[in-house]
Amino acid sequence: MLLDTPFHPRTAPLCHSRRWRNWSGYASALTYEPGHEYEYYAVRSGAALFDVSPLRKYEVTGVDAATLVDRVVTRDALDCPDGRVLYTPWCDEAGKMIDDGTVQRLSTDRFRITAADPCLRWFQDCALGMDVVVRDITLDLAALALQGPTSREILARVVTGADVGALPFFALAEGRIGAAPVTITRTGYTGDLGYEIWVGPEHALAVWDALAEVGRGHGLAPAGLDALDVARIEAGLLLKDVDYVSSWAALIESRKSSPYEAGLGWAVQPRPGREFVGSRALAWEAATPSEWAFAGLEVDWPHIEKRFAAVGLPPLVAGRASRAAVPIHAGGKQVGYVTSSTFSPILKKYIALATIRRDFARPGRRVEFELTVEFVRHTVPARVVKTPFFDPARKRG
Amino acid sequence: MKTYDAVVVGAGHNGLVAAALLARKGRRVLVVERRGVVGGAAASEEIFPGCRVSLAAQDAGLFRRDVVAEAGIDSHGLEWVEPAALATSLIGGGEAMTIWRHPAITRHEIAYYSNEDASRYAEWVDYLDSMARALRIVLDRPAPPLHDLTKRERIRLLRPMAQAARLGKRSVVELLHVLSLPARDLLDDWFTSDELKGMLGTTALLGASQGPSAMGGAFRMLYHATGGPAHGFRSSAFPKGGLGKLSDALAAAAQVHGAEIRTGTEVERILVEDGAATGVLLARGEEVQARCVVSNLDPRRTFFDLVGAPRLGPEFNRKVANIRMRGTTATLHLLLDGLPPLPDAAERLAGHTLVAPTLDYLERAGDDAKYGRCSARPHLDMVIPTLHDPNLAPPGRHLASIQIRYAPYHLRAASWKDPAPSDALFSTVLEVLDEFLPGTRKRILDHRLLTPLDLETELGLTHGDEYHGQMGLDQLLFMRPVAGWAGYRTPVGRLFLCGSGTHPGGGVSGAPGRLAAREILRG
Amino acid sequence: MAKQYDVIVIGGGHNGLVHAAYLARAGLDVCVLEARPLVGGATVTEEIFPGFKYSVFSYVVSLMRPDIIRELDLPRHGLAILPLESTLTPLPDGDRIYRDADHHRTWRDIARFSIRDAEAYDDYGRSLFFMARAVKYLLDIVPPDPARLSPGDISGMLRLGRHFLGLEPDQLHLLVKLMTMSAADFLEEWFETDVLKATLSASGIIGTFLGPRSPGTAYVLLHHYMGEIDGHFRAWGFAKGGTGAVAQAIASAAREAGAEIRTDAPVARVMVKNGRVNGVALANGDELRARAVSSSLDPRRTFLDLVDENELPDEVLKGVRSYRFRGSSGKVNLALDAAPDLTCMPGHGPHLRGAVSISPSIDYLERAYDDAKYGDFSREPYIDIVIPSAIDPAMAPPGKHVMSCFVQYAPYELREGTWDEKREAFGDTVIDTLAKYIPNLRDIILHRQVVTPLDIERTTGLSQGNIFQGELTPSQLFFLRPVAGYAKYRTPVRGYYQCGSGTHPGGGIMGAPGKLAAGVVMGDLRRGRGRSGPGGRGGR
Repeated sequence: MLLDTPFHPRTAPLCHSRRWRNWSGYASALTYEPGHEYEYYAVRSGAALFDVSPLRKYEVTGVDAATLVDRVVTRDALDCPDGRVLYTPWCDEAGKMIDDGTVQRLSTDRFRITAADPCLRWFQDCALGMDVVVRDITLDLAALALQGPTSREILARVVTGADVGALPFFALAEGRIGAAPVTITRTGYTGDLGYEIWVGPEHALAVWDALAEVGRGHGLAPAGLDALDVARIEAGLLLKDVDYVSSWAALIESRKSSPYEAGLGWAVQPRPGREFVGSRALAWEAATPSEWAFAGLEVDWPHIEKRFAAVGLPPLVAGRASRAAVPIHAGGKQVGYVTSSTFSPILKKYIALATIRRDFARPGRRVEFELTVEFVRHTVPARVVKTPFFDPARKRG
Repeated sequence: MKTYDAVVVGAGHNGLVAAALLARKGRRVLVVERRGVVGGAAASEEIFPGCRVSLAAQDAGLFRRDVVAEAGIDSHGLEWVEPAALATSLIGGGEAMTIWRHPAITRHEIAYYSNEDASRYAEWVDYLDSMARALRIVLDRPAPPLHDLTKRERIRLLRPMAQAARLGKRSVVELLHVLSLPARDLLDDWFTSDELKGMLGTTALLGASQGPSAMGGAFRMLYHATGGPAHGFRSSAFPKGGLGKLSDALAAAAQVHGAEIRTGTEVERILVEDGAATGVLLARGEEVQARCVVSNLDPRRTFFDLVGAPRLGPEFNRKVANIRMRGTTATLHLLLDGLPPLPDAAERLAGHTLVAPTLDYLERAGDDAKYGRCSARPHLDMVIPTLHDPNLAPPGRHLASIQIRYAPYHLRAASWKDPAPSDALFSTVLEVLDEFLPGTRKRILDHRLLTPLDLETELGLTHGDEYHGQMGLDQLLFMRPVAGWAGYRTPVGRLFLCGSGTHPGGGVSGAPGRLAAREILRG
Repeated sequence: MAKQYDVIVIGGGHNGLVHAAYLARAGLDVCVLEARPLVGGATVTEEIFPGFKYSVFSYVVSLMRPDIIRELDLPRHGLAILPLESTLTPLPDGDRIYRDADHHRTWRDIARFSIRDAEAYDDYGRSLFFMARAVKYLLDIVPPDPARLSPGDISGMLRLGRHFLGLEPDQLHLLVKLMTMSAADFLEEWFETDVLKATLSASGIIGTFLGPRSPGTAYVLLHHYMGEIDGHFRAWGFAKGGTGAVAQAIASAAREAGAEIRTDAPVARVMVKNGRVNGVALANGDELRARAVSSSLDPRRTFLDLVDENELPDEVLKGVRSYRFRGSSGKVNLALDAAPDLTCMPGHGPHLRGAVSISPSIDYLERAYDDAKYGDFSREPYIDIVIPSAIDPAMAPPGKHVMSCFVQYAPYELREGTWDEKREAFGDTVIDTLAKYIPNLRDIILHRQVVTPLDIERTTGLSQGNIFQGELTPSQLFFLRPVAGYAKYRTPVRGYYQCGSGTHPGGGIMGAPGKLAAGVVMGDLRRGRGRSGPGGRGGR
């Protein structure tokens, strides 16, 4: 049986498509309208409101809170000032990724961590011998993502007690929406200007209503997971269980990925004397790179059209984002696989996230993308490019 | 500042063995001991005025005689006492059955209970010794790693296999068969007399928190026969002057070769830089630099208290936290104004004196421990060291040290911090003595009870587990102290373990200390 | 001259039938002799009370080897295994842990007690999946004999070494723990919630005379996990028509392949001449000739009852005599007028299609064991309940139900009295225990059948009523099952074989011993002679 999120009384009547998905045991709308296009464009031209309450949330408090977070995640958490947020993966002792999420530093000795899947036991076990308390606060916090160019104006009009307009990228502020105390973080999963709002479940509906009310004049639309999937691929953001497999869930070694292999090498931040879980293995890997790397691919769209046209069809790939693994070839050999791909409505390109042999992962490198047209397999040319594919200045500005 | 080649944390017998062997090879060794005496659980201490006795360990029968030579301790005044009586089982109603070192007399004693058992006993003695010999092949060399074997290690693995094969394929298969058996099953296969089975089953309880029906008991019976001829019971020998004399001799041997020993010196923590040990910080603030640190403490104290869990990986910490450490033994020391009244007491009580009339008695004693209670009718194992050396107590006085099983560290409805459970346990023991060795009570001049909590606070044994981790089949060989780290090395570079928590395990054997020293010397 | 069979199979239990089916399919002339009027042994469905069908003894299927189902084409012969959806563990205070195929729902149910445990539960499921995968290898091989250095044995040992050393180190270490620890200690490494540990440990004690704190029970945990995949509890199944339907399907496959199956044909002894088997003598005096005889009975009957002691070496006699049976379980089968109503989950619901496990705490199970250790049946027993009629409506009249209660501990040897005297008291204890969790139970019982270990022994011939034909402890597994040197299905008597659960890989409705033994028999017959153990070829 799926549970309802605290926003369900609002989202359910809006979900005309009746398309729900199981997200961590909660009913989560895939789309509100029959198709996701409008919701996607809300992200890029207006504002989209996503219910992201099913995310796992943890609170870390105590004098050793920073020490613990620094020990768990690959990024340098001691370097994170109060009021800032970090996106980071965390690894097992072998340096293989367990999960990824954001770390909010609420104060010197208070952090909040979001995760895709349950991690309480891991965080607590990492805290052995430290003066710190880790709590699962998933049920204590509802969450909304407000994403899109008008999100700042909307939020600035409903939030009191915090200067949303001045909030920098990956910063947080505590304020109020109406009577509800909220935490605002300038974060998101769309690669656009956007915020996430963290609020107690008892205030969830009031916050939704306030945003909906003000948002009406700013192109606000409730948006579902389908639109989110397209946006996050454009932003080059990873999805656990799709673009990488957690080392806990991987039944075989070869399914596991290190941050380097997942394109998150930048998030591994050693510091002299710093020991974090997996640091030794990752230091070794930094010195002797893995044969696998992460790459963004632009698939040649005219070729795709041509392949379809040859059998008299329009290019039928331009639907939803695809999570089907697709082989990548070069020189007649398979050199990797695509884990996520989508037609980018804003770029008018077919783009993909891929795990690919290091030799082929350099930007500009040409490879072949496998494409099945009318039950026949073909390859079409593709080019390795830097991610994000779409990176508007407003995201950081 | 002076830099040592090795600083040994804890002067238990294994620490001293390691220190002596390292010093003998020319290493500059410092041994630091928190307490005022060396020996740890095998130290002589003044327990009553003018009486010196070992607080915990009572028997050094497992001590490897080849370590005596290797560490050069024979020249330090160590004398062994091997009383004619190995053990006497009190059956109740004033009856007693004794196993003597002389087989013919033993046979005679057993025949009183069962002729059939008496006639099988000689065969049993051979069987136990031959199985123990086979087992010792595995115990007295480093535990075989099962992974990432180099070619050399593969060849090293073949050696014990070849050695074992010489004992005959039969006995190897029999060993595999018997290792996992409960003591009860093994004894049922051999004997019919409840009294004999109860007595022989007691060695299966050493290092375990469970009764004789628990799997692995047969292994523990064999384990306690690996120190030398077991005469069907256990390898048993007492240093003249008490167990502390063995530790003193080990310390002397180490010092002769240049090792320094500082008693009354507590280690605050092990210094670690860049993932490797660089020395120790003493409680009084002094830092001691060393090329390696060797811990004789149990793994949990070593890793969690001295290194600190945050310096170790969470997966490793989980393993350390999961080491089953379950002290279930209390020790009662008695000062007596004469031997307990028993015919031929001076002879019969010179070895182990047991209250273990049947296997069911032991089983019920163990049942209580499962639910966090002291046994209503505990199993007792008494040694009277004054029968080995009368000088340990003033003339006419005797000392008796009684190990009481089971007295679990974790009491469910009480705490050892309160006097009540200790008082209750003392009266329980007196009642049991009244029943099995009547007249003892009247001879008691003074007593001191050491609970598992006392063992923890006084000797530093986590949860009072004198074996540094249960001797269950899951905590042996390459699983001891934790899987993947059986070779005396640790995830902290240049930090070694040498205590009973490592392979081959607990008891006053010196075997872990010796193997650890060899590993350290390998560089 | 009387007819000579190629192989006579003694005992028409599921292993005997599997054995016969494989031999018959290989073209051999096979005859199965079953003492009872129906085949199945402990795998039978009987209509003891009109309209209600009881799986009298064994009641669930999880270990049945899929290759046997495929190769014998059992679905065509009527086999259908329906999934048991869930396990419900009611607590005395009206609470419960309910685990089913809905991962998130199960997670939340456990998280009510401990979030850590809910997380650990996934980890645990995965770990046991790895273990089951590692050990499954053993289910399909004839154990090599480490005491004999024939080329086959050596290569078998090497293959075995390669297999296990090929595991990830963590997995190998976990396997060692599993082989040696108690279920309670093993589970302690994952969980803190007592009831969760208790109900999981219950599968470590089924069929053993051991408590959850007894070392060795962790392996049994795995033995019952091998039918499962990826941490899900779906692989426990219930055979449509009751477990007897499994035996019927195998019998039908065997008959189709040409095997003859005779019921009401108890065997008195195996006839041996010059160290070689030449047939069997039936209890009615008839003698049947055969080139080979396979016994699917337990080792005690196979070695001590059916052949003359003089035919066997002392070592074997000694080994078989010290082989442990120790029956520890009984059954109470109930015909119910209505569905049982549980305090913790009232009314009808999917939970009735799964197992209900009375295992509220480790201490509860341990105390149940303590009672048995000293020769009494448990005052408050562990009970594993399934309601076959909730899954398969043909098991009871419409609206009515059959309830199968597996009860532990019921020691075969009682300290006082006999099972014939205590049978009803035992049944009352079970009903009293159940009524604490199912308040309407007493009102809806139409009929009750109490099966004690003595009844199991009397009816099925299983010594001491041990459902596994001998305990699944490490000293009785693999090349030590049933005795060292004779784990390869042969016996010291040439042409005489074993094919029951008392041989590797052991008990449960698995069929593997029967199939593996058939391979050995066929190999020997093809080479022209039945062989005795020593001198026989090793390996696969």
